[in-house]
Amino acid sequence: MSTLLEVSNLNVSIDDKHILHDVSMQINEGEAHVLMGPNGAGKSTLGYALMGNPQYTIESGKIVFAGSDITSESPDKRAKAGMFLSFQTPLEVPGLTVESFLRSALEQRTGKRIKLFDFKKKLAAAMELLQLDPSYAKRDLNVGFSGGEKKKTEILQLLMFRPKLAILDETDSGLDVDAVRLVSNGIKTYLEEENGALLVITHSTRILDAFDIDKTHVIVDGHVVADGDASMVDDINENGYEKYIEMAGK
Amino acid sequence: MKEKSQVESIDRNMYDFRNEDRDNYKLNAGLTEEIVDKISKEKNDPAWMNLFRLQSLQIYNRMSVPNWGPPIDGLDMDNIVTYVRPNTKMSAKWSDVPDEIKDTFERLGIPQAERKSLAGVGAQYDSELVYHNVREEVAAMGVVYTDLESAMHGEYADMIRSHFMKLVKPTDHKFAALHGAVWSGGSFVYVPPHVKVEIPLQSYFRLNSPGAGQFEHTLIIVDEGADLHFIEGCSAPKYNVANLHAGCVELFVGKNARLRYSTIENWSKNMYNLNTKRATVEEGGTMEWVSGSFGSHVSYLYPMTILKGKNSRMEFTGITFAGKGQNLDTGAKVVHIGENTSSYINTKSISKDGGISTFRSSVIVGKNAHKSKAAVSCQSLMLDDISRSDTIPAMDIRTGDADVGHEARIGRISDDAVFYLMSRGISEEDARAMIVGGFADNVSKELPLEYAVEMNNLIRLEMKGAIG
Amino acid sequence: MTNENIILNPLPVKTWNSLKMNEVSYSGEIPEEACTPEIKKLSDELKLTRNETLSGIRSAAGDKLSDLMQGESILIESDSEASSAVLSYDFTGSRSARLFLHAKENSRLPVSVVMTGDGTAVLEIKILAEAGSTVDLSVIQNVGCESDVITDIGCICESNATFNLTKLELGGRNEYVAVSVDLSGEHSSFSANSGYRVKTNQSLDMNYVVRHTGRKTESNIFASGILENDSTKVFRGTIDLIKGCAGAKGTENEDILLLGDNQVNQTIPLILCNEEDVEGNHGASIGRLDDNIIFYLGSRGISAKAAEDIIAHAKLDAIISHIQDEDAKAFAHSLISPEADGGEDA
Repeated sequence: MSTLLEVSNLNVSIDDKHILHDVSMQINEGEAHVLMGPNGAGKSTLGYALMGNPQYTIESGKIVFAGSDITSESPDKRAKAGMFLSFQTPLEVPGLTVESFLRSALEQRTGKRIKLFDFKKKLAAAMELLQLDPSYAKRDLNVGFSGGEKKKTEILQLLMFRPKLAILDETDSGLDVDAVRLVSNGIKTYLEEENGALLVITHSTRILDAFDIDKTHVIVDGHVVADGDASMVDDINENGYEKYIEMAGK
Repeated sequence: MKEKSQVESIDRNMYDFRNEDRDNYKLNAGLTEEIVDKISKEKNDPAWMNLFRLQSLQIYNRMSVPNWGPPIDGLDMDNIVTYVRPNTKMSAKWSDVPDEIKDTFERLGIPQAERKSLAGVGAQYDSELVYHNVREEVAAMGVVYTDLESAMHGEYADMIRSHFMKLVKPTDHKFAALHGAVWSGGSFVYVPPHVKVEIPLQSYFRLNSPGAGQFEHTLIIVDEGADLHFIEGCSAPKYNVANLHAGCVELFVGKNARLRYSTIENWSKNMYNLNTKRATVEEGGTMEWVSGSFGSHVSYLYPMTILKGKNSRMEFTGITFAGKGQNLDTGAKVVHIGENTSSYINTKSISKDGGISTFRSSVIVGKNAHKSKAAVSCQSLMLDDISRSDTIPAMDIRTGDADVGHEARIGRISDDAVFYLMSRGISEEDARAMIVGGFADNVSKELPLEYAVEMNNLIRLEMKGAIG
Repeated sequence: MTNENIILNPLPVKTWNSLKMNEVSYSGEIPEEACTPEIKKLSDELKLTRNETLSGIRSAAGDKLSDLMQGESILIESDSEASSAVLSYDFTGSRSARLFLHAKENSRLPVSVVMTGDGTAVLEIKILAEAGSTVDLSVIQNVGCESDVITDIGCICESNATFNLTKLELGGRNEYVAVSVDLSGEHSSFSANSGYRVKTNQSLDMNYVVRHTGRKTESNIFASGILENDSTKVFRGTIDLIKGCAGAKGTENEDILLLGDNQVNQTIPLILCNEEDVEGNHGASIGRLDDNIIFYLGSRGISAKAAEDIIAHAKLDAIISHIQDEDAKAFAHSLISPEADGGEDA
């Protein structure tokens, strides 16, 4: 299995505040990883840094994705290379409908014009899978959507864009049981149909029941303090982060 | 024509030396009774119109330019050739239009627009109507859509006389007076009672000659219970010589009638656009303005609505995009006179590349406009720190039981939103264009599809190279 | 004494002349006789002298007034955490006064000013808030209802300085208020709470101008008032976001309650902006008392007239709560209580 994402010794700061310290991580094609850690550990920062949010400064280290160094690439280039980030709080863009947004993003990603008929068919199928009302296609992107609808719209994009790596930042937070099931279904569909890789950022474990985890990483105070297999998730479920917080203290 | 104005400017210099009342004479040098008389004769004006023009000229000479708003120093009335006549007469068939003119229209998409079953096309080349075609079905409903000049001599002569510049009087301001003196071309629309025109009427105006001013007059009367959508689109290529546009639009909305007046204005970037638009609305009537301002060097544009009859209402939806070298002063005015009248002004403005956009409004609620409602919402977007965006909204409320609300906001494109779209694979330039396009959707969703597309293309065009 | 008309309160950017809102013409006098305040309170940390070093600070009242203002002036300086100063001006017989406030670095300067008396009253207050200082100024205006009143306040805020202004306008026949604030230091801020009750045949003409030049400066203007039958109010409020003031925020809000009829109520809130990274907001709500509120209070046995009084009182109360000095606050309360209105039965 070949390497999809290789993060080496990544140091990241925001507003001169050093957040991530020497983070390294390797994700192979088709693997599902989970990144866990207490609140404020720097989980979301890693997601943003991988996606290239300009507010975050990479002080040192390297991100190699799908064979190219993308450390200083702009977010759209990363997206085109096959990276996807599901935002914890998706942005509202008044005046831009879900439909026209998806279509132009798809066209930009592929550099080709998309046939309207194919697009509509694909969109309808994906919306049905997520039980999103078809009327949402005509609504402004995330404007007036509930928390759950915003998260579903993120997964809708995942299904439409079919990236190589999906980083899901707290996708299950604030969702009721039904919504978690639908969102999980969407993610499963993506994994199965696309052999996609996954980096799930979460501090709970609800969403992890839906699919098999290959690797677990624990981050505390901006340091990755432990790597392990799926059993680590159960361990954290039972014993919490204390052990890991101690490890970070050393 | 050119030679003549040179002679005049020499004359003026000699005269200046001796004359105490210099300013007054300077204006005379640009525009004389002889010129106005000549226009009048060429137009074959009725006697009352000839007199009206000369009276307007006197008013023009008496009044001074506004002491507020963007500078218009670049305007030199001495060099404005007020009237240019193309080598063609009125035409009802497309094949009769000369190739050169046709080519220009082709590029503006007028024949296509007509094919898309728009009701009629009145297109103006220079100061003369050259192409005019009202679909038979509309004419059969009794709707009159014609050029104003010939209408002055026809069946509707009295109607025109009793409405022409009664709403916008020559005494309103200097450029209204100028218009009264030299107006030329334009449209007359009359919709008889209870006739509902299902498809929009449209008209393109166009300036084509360096230094030419355009003074077209639009007069629309929508009678009781009738319904009309009129679309005015403008676009002109860029010239190096200052251009002046001082058109005038007068709209009369009858009892329970409805009129929607849509404009996408894209004058060349050297145009001085000093246009005056005004509507009066009778009891239960509705006036809707949809206005996109993209072109011109300097604009003064504030469509005004007089809510005369009780229960009358108006809605103004506007967008202004000021780019490099542009100073666009736009907005709306409303006067509530009747009881229970309502107005809603909703505007967006965008400033970029050193452009200046000013939102200026005036809401007056008179003593007797009991239980009236007025709301103003204006949002401005600054795309960089070399541009300028000002908001000057005035409210004058004279009745105790009016409900008046106002909100204004100036801001920028959120970096987070740009990052969000970029993380989906959209380039920064396109992400910003999409957000700006979304910002402008108050107007685009009010326009017929082909115009909305045209407007979005304009925004996209303006946004190109927005990323430094 | 001057007889020619003076232009007061000009808008920084003009609009249609026909609206008659670009400025106001004042035909009254600018008294030459000085008004010496009674010092009701002056905490030990404060220094009071006669000095006019701050007279050059910008005004929003117009150039003419600044030219005419002269003569005696008082300077209060603070270089530490001062507790309070209360000055009472009696303008009886028509008088003018000048007051200068100087808060040195990291100091606090709380001042309350009470304006009373019958006769034309002109008060100029110029303020310099040095880096890190806070100036709290409350002005309670209750001059006789046949008098012309001009209050002209100008302030410069250096970095991290704060200027809090509370104004209560109750008296006077024709009142003119000009407030000019330069937020020139970064992180400096200005907050104004203005409350007024304009009675029958009174007029109130306001001109607030805030210039944001420093980075991350903030301003907040709130004007809340009541207009009775046949009263006139003009509010001009300008937030000028000048290039270089990145991160600045300016907000102005108006809340007007109309009691009765025939008011002239003019508002012109300008936001001028040539900086990208800023926020400017304006909101206004103008109207009568909500029918639902009248009904709700009515169902509790309160008449419509009493309900209006209660709501009007509550609006001014909210403004008065910003006055820092307890004695001044109590005095302000006494002015708006029903007894002060002639003991009308609520």
